[in-house]
Amino acid sequence: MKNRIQELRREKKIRQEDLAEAVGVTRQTIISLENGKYNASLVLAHKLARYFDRQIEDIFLFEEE
Amino acid sequence: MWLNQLFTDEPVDFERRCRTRIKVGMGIAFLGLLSLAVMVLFCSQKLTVLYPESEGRDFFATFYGSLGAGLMAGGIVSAIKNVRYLKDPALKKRQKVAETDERNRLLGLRCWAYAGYTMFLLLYVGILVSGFVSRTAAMVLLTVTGVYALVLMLFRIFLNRVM
Repeated sequence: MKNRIQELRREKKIRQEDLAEAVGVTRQTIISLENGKYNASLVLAHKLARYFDRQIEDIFLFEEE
Repeated sequence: MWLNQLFTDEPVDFERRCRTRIKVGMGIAFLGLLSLAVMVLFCSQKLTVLYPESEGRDFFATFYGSLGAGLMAGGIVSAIKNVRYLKDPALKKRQKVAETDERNRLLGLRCWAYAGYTMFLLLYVGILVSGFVSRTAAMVLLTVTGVYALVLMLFRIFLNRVM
């Protein structure tokens, strides 16, 4: 699943460390999310959506196979 | 329930986890001390083994001595680390994030799963090879594999009910 985390983070001009701290995960998790190596859980997706003040579907782009 | 911690979306009470680890660490250190005491008793001829003592003497002292020292060191180190987490707020915060991070938790579970698959495969290879070397070894490995498969099946049934 693709996501716009890196794009939104850059828009907000924040570092990966700051985003990680805000949503309670490690920086490595943010890196993996941005690289598309890891898919966030529903809880983390909600936290990220709240942090960026967006809907989940604006951040995570669901693609049917 | 304790097993709930296996689910990556379950919240973790980090302080409670640290306190539990301190107790477990001290328990493990005590077991290590017990093992050392057994070694000392054996070396001072107050205990004996069920096989020819000439074969067992060196093994017994080395095995129980190393086991005891290892358990004591591991238990004490674990307890000290967790006391430090509870006393130092910055360290506690960093460690809490590292331990409750959902990717880290998933990684941990996957490591267990892959280690399990590998162990099963190794046991199978061990059974095939040991049949040519020692019947006792083959039977022990076969029993371990059987118990392993049984535990796996029981967890499958249990988890199927709770999730």
